[in-house]
Amino acid sequence: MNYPVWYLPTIGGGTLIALIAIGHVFVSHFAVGGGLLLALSEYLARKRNDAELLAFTKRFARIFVLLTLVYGSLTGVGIWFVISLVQPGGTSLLIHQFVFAWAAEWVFFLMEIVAISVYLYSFDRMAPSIHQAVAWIYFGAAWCSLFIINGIITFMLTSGNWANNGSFWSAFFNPSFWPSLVFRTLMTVIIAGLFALLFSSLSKDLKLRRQLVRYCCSMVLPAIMAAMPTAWWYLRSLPQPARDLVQAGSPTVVRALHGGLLGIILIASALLLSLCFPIRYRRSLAVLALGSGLLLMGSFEWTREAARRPFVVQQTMFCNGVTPGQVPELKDQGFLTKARWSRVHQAASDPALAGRDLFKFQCYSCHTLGGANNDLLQRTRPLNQTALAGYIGSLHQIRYFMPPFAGNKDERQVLAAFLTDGLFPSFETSAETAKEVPPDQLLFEQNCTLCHTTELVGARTADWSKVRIRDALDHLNQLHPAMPDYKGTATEKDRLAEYIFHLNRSAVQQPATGVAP
Amino acid sequence: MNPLIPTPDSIPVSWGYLLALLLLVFPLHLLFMNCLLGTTAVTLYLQRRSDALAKQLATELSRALPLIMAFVVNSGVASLLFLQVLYGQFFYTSSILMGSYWLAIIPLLILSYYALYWVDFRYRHLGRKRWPLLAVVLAVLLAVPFLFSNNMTLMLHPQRWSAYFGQDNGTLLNLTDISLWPRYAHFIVAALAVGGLFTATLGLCYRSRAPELAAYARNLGMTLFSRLTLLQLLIGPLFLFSLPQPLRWQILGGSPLATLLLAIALTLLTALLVNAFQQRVLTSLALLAPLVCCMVALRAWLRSAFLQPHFTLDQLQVAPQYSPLLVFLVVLLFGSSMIGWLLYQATKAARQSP
Repeated sequence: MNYPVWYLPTIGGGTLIALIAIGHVFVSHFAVGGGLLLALSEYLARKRNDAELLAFTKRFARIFVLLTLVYGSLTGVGIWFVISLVQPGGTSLLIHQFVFAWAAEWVFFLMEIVAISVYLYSFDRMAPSIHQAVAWIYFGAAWCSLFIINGIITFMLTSGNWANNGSFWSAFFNPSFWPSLVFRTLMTVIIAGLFALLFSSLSKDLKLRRQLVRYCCSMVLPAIMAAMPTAWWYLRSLPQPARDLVQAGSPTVVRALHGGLLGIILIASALLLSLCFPIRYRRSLAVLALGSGLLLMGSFEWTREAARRPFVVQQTMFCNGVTPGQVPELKDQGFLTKARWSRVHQAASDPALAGRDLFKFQCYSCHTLGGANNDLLQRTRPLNQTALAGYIGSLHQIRYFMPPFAGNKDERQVLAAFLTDGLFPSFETSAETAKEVPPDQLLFEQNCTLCHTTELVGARTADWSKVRIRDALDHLNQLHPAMPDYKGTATEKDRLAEYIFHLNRSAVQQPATGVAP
Repeated sequence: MNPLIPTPDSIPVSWGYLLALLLLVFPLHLLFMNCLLGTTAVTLYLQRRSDALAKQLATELSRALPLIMAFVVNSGVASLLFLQVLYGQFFYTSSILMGSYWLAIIPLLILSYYALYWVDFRYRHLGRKRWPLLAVVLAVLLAVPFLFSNNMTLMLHPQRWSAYFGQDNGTLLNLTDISLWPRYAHFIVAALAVGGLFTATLGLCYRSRAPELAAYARNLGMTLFSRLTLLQLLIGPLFLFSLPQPLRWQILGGSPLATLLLAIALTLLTALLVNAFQQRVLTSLALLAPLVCCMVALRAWLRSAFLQPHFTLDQLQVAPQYSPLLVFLVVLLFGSSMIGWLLYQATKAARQSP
């Protein structure tokens, strides 16, 4: 609410961040591990007087520069650009809180540029011991960059004692700093090894390929083994709500974790296969292994981002830029009266614009309208606006990864109107003339239909007795760990059970498609 | 106070330290950026020449371009960092208003960076394709500062931000600002001139190995540098007269600091022109560095003067934490010595190689 919103409802800011971040995270980890790989392979080549391995190291250095110095560094700047456009409040907080950490990271970035350029352009010109020292300097600087960025990223997830003392050091060395640092360091080794394997698979020198496969596997396999207990350590360092979000099995987190597991299995299989049959380790298998590395990295980052929800900085700022401390006042006095970047300051004065602005400032940071990412249009289509208005008031309780709606009753109503009738014609009057809905149906729609279609609830409970439905409403979390328990009164549960039971009966009598026989 | 201006976050040290750091790193960025744009233009021009010296010079210049690009990006990061800490509430807002263009800078730079490496690594192999590739790079390098000029001027005019209410998709530019065009022209002409000076400086490296090439580079580079710098005597006043009258008068005598900075800049410029026309490369370089620092300081003064009705830096709240600053200074010292050692070793290796 402090900043304007760059509004592209069908694309969404989250999509833009993801587009840049996915590639950057992968390549930036390669930029660290690849430095280690260069230093070690040159050391081995010189020690064994192996001209082929040395030539490979030189070729690898060139690809390494092209990928990390160009794509890696510019997408890094790109992430900074895009988060300042999509999350300006959060970015400003991170920049101001960590200005000298960023500045130190800039020094290491400069060291990386100079070291890797000297390394590449002086390959055959420098004394071997000095050339190797340059590689180690590069690796040291790259790892120090990771050290700093890790402190800032983990702060967003576990802000630790910073909220109480405001200390830079508490923010930087936060509870998940060390497990994350070890985990990311291992990831850098895994990704660098996978890149080296891909590059070696292009070589026609079979002896070199055999040697490189052994060399890469001896780096990557132990790193994978070590990454698993580190991931568990990382998980244990998260605060309870974040850990619940990962462990409770939100369907999207489950998908991401499955993706990560699949990635590990595929990488390990490809590496074992390559160890047994190094000559058969062809390009296609190397691409598959590298793709699996991307899957592993992507699922880790996705889970980490999901665990942070609904905050952009844990307990400090919600993902829409509103802070927890602002919510009570905004609920009482209204959001629009305080929103400097909204043209309308009272919901009733222009309901259509008020609804659009409320969506823009409170929902758009995570949702699109008709877009591929988290489309709200699809979710609200089956709802009527009275039910949605009720749901908006309690969405942070039903969906614990969402921030509370920070606005008053009128604003809830116009937002609901915008998200239902507002996205269709005839909106102009709809905000004032909310449709009449039977109370039990309203209760059902407010609490169930955002996640489940009416047809699905009907089908799932087709052979259930009313008593069983009522009993299930007392233990929703046991039906599925991602489903929160219903927090309404016993009377409301009775009414809901009745409604679902009759819904089911009418579903039997009348097909769910609604098509007359 | 304009109600659209966001509330700034607090800063960890007094604003003076942050401003000093901004004034330290931004001249570096300007010099690298000018060098990149101007040298690309010179390399492109040399592609159309058929004489052997021109071809050889173009090869040498194209080798330097990707490296310069790396330093442009790096020094740009530091400049944007300190700018955001001091003026974040203005900078984030103007960036969002022109978000679609602003984000387009990243793919444009990736494209041009790869094109520069392509030209460097496959120079001979590319043949006539070098020209269109370098032309695309030059077009990008002309477009990016135009977008930067838009952002840097839009952030100074909160009264224009209300256009957001009719256009919130990040496609606003500051094209109606009369000072935008001379400001941009001032920058581009300076960049082309610095490209000439860099060409001449590179020529110095070949004095003993290839004296003809060195003389050719010096002649071409210093001719470009001196004539284009002379052109600034026309563009500079145009820029000055495009500024709002109160600010113009302050620079021309109202503000002692601004006037002093302008006077020093004009003195340095005069000396620079004399030396440039006499083709004294190193003296010109030695005069250019303080001139750029002086212009950057004047630019910083101008920014604070534009924003003065809305905000002054002493309004920023300080939540003091000086230990991170100390750690940064230690890292900077350590990093500078390592970089010095690396460059020393690289130069030594280059001298020893055949």
